[in-house]
Amino acid sequence: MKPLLTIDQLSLSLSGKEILKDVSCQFQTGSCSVLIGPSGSGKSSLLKTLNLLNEYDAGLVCFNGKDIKTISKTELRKKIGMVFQQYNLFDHLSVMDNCTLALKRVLNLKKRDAHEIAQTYLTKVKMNDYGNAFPRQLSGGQQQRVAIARAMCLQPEVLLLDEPTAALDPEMSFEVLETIKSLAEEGVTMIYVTHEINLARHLADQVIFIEEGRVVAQGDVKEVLDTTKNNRIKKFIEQIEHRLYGSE
Amino acid sequence: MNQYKLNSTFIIKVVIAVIALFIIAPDFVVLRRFVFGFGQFITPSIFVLFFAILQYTLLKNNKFMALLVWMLIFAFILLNIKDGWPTGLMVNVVLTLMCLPMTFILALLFAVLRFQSTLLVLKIFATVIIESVRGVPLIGLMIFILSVGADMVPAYWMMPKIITLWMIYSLFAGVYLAEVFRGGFQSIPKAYFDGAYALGMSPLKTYVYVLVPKVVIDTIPAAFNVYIGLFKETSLVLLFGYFDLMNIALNYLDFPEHYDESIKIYMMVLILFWIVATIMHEYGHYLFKTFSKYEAKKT
Ligand SMILES: Nc1ncnc2c1ncn2[C@@H]1O[C@H](COP(=O)(O)OP(=O)(O)OP(=O)(O)O)[C@@H](O)[C@H]1O
Ligand SMILES: [Mg+2]
Repeated sequence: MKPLLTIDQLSLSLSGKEILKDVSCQFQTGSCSVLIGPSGSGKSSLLKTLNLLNEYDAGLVCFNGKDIKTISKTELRKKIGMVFQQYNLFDHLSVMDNCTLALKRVLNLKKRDAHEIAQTYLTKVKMNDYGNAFPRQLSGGQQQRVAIARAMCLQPEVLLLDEPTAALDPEMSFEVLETIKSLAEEGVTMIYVTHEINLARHLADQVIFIEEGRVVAQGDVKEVLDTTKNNRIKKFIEQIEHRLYGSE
Repeated sequence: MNQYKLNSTFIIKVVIAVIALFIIAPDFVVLRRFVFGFGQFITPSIFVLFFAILQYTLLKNNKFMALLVWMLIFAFILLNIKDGWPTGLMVNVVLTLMCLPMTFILALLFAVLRFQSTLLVLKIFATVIIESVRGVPLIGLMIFILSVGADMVPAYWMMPKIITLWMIYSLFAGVYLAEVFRGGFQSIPKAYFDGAYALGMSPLKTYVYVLVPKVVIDTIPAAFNVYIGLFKETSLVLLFGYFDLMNIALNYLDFPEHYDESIKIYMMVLILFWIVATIMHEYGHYLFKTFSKYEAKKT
């Protein structure tokens, strides 16, 4: 099978600083890939490169076999949705307006159709009762779910998720996770940044470990997380599990 | 949710001011002439009615209707301008209301042009206009236009005085308001751009549908400072021979039999200005409370 998204020797610098170096990886259609790595390693930057929020300097990123720089940004972003680490909801718009904005202004749908689609996805993330609320009236987990619904409204083929459960308590991250799982079952290709190893074990078809802008290891869950020979990864994983489960 | 309630201190303040007016005023005819000038009551009443409709369309968030009503008001003013009207406080009020929408549009345009960095020529243009207009005194600009402006343009280009004034005031208040708006744009987090772009919005659409609405709402209190300033500056139209509130008062005091009333008259003028400015302030407060619901914290 041909991969949906391929990255080939990508490098990226922002304000003169080299952030990603020689990154290569592939994402299969309908798969769920997890990106892990220490803070500041460039995970968010990599995601933002995939929908061209960051302009990369060298390398090649192909979507459906086409160089993404040759696709118009609007078309590309309609197909590759993104959920941000800080949600990036528009505070001055209600939950419903956040969701219908792109439907009305990018897809040029009628107000009623946009409403209907938004309602469908808000129901999927169990936020259908909050259409008139404003983001600041919601908890972090609720905002995150709205952000997921907003991205899903455009019915993208790929969904980029940047630590969607980082700010949530276990119960709420479970809720968000369920949402994500149900989306994965619909065949949406997921690229997912997380620090939570257990989630990765649970969800991932592929794990990519990034450190200082380089891909250190990539492969299926067992390969990268359990049977790895790389000391750095072992230590990282040990530390995370240490932190989560205490030191007994 | 933040619901607007008519502020009781506001009502008390205004009531006291009105009572004071009636006590101070030599007689009712003088007071009436200060407010409505030499005109009659009907025109101002229709005017108030129009404004009520404008208010309603604003609340319904129907921008198109609001613009239409404003154009009606504008046409109404132009049709009604004659020697007797507007005069008195109505000059200041009418001129302010005429200028508000133009000020707003100009300010938004200049602010966006100065804030963005893609269209460099327009950015420089906006910056030059803003900085040069902001750097000169209004009275200087007016006297300049008054004394040499008429010689510089051919006669068939001459506009009614009120249109000239309308343009000067809109431009002047517009550049101040533009800086207020620009501050608003600068305080928008980068997350807004990322969030909008990631949804496939173009930069233009991001401005029109996301950034501008946010900035306009966030800067309502600061914008009303500019509007109130604009209202007070309209007393300078006496330079153009308009019988605005200030000029009517000066005119009244010119008669020898009124010499000893000067303190009373000046106080009346100041109180009248103060009442309108206070109402404007409260109106801004009301708009802010109504449109910034999203600021509400969790309860
Ligand atoms: N716009 C920018 N300009 C310059 N440097 C940047 C910019 N954005 C990010 N960086 C740098 O790039 C590096 C990677 O940042 P990034 O946000 O991608 O990390 P991350 O892996 O997502 O970290 P975290 O897990 O904390 O979210 C950091 O060192 C950061 O300082
Ligand atoms: Mg990050």
